[in-house]
Amino acid sequence: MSRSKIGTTEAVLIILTVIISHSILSLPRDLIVRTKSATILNIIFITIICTILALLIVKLFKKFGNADILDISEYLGGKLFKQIVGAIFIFYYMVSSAILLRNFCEALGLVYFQMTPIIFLILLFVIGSCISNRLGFNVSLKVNLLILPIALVSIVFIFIANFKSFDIQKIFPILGGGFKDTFVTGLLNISAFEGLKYLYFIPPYLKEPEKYKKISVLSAILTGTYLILCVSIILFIFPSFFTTNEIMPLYSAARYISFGNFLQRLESIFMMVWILSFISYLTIATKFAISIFQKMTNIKNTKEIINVFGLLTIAISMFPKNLAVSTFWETKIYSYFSIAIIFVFGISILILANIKKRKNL
Amino acid sequence: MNFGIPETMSTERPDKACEFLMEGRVIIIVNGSPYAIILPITLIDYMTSPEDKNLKTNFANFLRMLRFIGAFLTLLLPGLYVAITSFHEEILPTELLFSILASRENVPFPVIFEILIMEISFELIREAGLRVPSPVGPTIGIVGALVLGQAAVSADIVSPILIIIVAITGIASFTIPDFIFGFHLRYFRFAFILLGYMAGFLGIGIGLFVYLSVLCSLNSFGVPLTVPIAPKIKTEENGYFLSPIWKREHRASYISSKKPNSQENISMKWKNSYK
Amino acid sequence: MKYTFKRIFVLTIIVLLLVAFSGSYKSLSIDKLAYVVAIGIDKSSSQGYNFSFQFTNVTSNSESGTAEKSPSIVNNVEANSIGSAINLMNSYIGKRINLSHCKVIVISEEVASEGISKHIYTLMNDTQIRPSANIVVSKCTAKYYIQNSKPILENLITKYYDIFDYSSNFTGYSSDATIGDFLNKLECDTCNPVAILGGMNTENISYPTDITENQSSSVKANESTISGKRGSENIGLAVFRDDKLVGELNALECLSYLNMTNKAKGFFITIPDPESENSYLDIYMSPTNPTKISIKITNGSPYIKVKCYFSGRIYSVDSNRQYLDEKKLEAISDICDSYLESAFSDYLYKTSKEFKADINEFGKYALSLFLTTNDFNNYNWNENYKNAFFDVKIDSIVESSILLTET
Repeated sequence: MSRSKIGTTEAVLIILTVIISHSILSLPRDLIVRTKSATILNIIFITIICTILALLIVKLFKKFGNADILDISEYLGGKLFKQIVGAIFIFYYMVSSAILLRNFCEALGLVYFQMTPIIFLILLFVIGSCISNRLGFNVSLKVNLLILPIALVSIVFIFIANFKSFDIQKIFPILGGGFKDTFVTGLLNISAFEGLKYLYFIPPYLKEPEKYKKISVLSAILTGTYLILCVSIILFIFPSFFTTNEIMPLYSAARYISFGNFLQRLESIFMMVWILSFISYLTIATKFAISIFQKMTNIKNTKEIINVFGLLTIAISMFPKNLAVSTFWETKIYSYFSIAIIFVFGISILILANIKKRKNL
Repeated sequence: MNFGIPETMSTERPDKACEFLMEGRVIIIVNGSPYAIILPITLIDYMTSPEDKNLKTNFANFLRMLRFIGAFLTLLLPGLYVAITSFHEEILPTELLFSILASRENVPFPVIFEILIMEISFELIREAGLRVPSPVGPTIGIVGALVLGQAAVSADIVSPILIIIVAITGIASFTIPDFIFGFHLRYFRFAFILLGYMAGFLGIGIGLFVYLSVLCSLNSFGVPLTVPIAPKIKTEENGYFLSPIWKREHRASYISSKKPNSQENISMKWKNSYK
Repeated sequence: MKYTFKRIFVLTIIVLLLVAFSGSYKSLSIDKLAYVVAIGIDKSSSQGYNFSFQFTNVTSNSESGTAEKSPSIVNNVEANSIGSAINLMNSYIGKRINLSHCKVIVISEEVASEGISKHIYTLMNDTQIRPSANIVVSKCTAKYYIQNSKPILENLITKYYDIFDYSSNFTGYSSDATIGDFLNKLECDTCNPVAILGGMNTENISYPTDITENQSSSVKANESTISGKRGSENIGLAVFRDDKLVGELNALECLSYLNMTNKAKGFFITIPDPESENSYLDIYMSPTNPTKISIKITNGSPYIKVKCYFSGRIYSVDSNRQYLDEKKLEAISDICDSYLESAFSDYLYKTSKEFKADINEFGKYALSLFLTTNDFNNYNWNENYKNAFFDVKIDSIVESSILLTET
């Protein structure tokens, strides 16, 4: 087999890794800070918009058969444009995963490993992901299939176990910061759906290409449902008008779980599940970056390139000086970056390519 | 890199070999060796015992679940114990923590050293038990238990809770039907002990991820080891659990056998109907 | 050759990681930690605070199984903040203090009236503290309270600390106030926190000459008529506005608080017997439905309607009585209604006019009346709560006595 194939469930779960890994960090809190108590309404609104955008992407890909966005950009602007687009996407994949890695390791270091320099925590993650990538293309997808359902169940478990301390009244006032805040400025919350970045690259690898539409719709809806769960946990437990920022809100929510007096403070178990899902996310992001690189440069064997990309991840994650800088990158810059590349840049390439194809016909 | 996970199964029992042959697999018999080699093999097959098909399906499925729990405990229990006592003591209920502290009061060794001593002694007893002549066998067993258990605790070399952990791990390792698979789990729990000691749940998580990656990358003569979960295959007979006898109508689809149906659709009916 | 290089490289990485993580695993090993069970904060004669740390001596919990009471050790230190206190105590004890099994945080009245937000935020900033640890405001010094918290019916003091707030489920005279809840209510604009009220229990109490029927339900910690082996007791609640102590609730008011916040599961009340004067009935009431609260804003002030539903069983039975008569049961129910209505009303007006603190979290029910967060912030619930009107209705049904229906 020259090219390995991705099944339908695997594809949906690839897109979900991103949202799970980001939601462990500061994503739910950022959403709530932007739209206050109308966040759930806002997420429903945004899920509908993203489903429509995902369907749009699938429709724009239809005319090109099994091509991914690199082939389309080659068709649009020639080889140079293909290299530029490839470089932008590699940059985006590497930087986003490195920033999240840095923030996660900082949080882990604060809670458990105060005496260890952070580079060793990052090193552990990168070693794990490099080993997994070297074993083959499909390996990390299969492991993802094993791990991700457990991560989803863990969030549902936190939701159910904390149910008795929920204050449903915190969903009011229903319009939060106002109509403009919820539906116009709140559109920026679309950056939570950055998992859709994989939709641009999976068409050539799909085992059943006719299920592409189903994959995109299912992943958008599942992401939205998952986000609603996460946001409700944080909105209903913690006070409504956020004055205190915590480093990992879901972790703090997991600390409140207690069954009687003997089963308390279970947050370490959730931490282990989240570590597994995070390293899975890192492996898949690195893998797709490497496959883009392979397509750009036509390298036959990528085994040694994997080490280089691992070192690159370490280098980028060590770039911010301290937690304040990396949190600033994650909360402020990251969302605009995601929206610009995934929704503006990607969709405009597809639209221009479709226009060119229609002109040529 | 395959971590010693076997890709074929070898057995001395004719009924086990025949059962796999009827399922559609290939048996290799070599002149001069008492073992028959069965291939291709998947992870679930390591957890099945030939007697399962003769029991009622509920009991057989219960036993299968028990074996999976046994495999999990064999691999991870000592590592989890070391990780919890080193990094995550808040999980333990307060009274349990205080009884652990009280029992460790006079023990001179740190947790990692204790657990390595006990695990290695257990492996020594296990290996020695294979070559003990039968008249002396039970005596050695009693002496081993007494020496390891009671005397070591009374002499404050190890703490009692550690004996429980090691005993449960040992018993769990005996629930796995296939010898080589059980051996590889026993072999790797030392890696997890070391990882748990070094970095707590982070180390165990990363170790588990690498272990699962290797497990998913292995093929047994073209059949992935972790089918039907990864890759996901929609089948009737491929699940983890046995279906009742009258429902076993298909052979496993990942084997691509020549006759996919082993029984016809409704097998429980009268063959000859009298007018 | 390449194979050897690879092996050496892998080995180097493993050794490097082992060395790098050695700092963490050496310092956190279970043998090197001392577990604090309770923390106490008092005001000291100089500017700082007097911190008390209670430890349990674990050697008496050995495997022999004998039921020995494990002694607890209380150490004190004077410092300006919790961090420096822990630092000083670490150097004294040798082992490193770990707060992950701290069950109770005791704060003396004096410290509480000056404001405790700094202590609460510092404690919750620590990764080790459990959000389910209880907060107690003691009327005596925290040091006395902790020293006299001896387990009577249990072996370990931690077992007592685990279950002493559980009594609120069936008496209603105290409540479960945890530090996690305290922090959430501190940050919330519309509600105010409470803490358990603790005090001394000494054996020489002077009994008042006339014991009226209200005596047992208007007690607070430090003043109860209980005498027992343990020198500390917890009855009532301490009320905070923002982070300063503003008042206390006695047993009956605490019961009202539990009913307003839907935490009550069952409690006793003592009402005058309608059939004979100078005699009282004990009824065990349990809520059948959650309390219904509805809020309207009239002329800028909140108008709060509260409706509670109870069912009761007669507990105290006398001779020559009939307890299954419908009319008599109705009469008893009406008396229960009026008793509880007046008790709840008094309590609600006390929180509104005297304490000016919304500890019942009524503010969250008002959220649905506003469309945007700005509107709600402009309304300023905290300021308007002191002008609130309350309308309490109780619907209780006393069903029967328990085993004896007629004597």
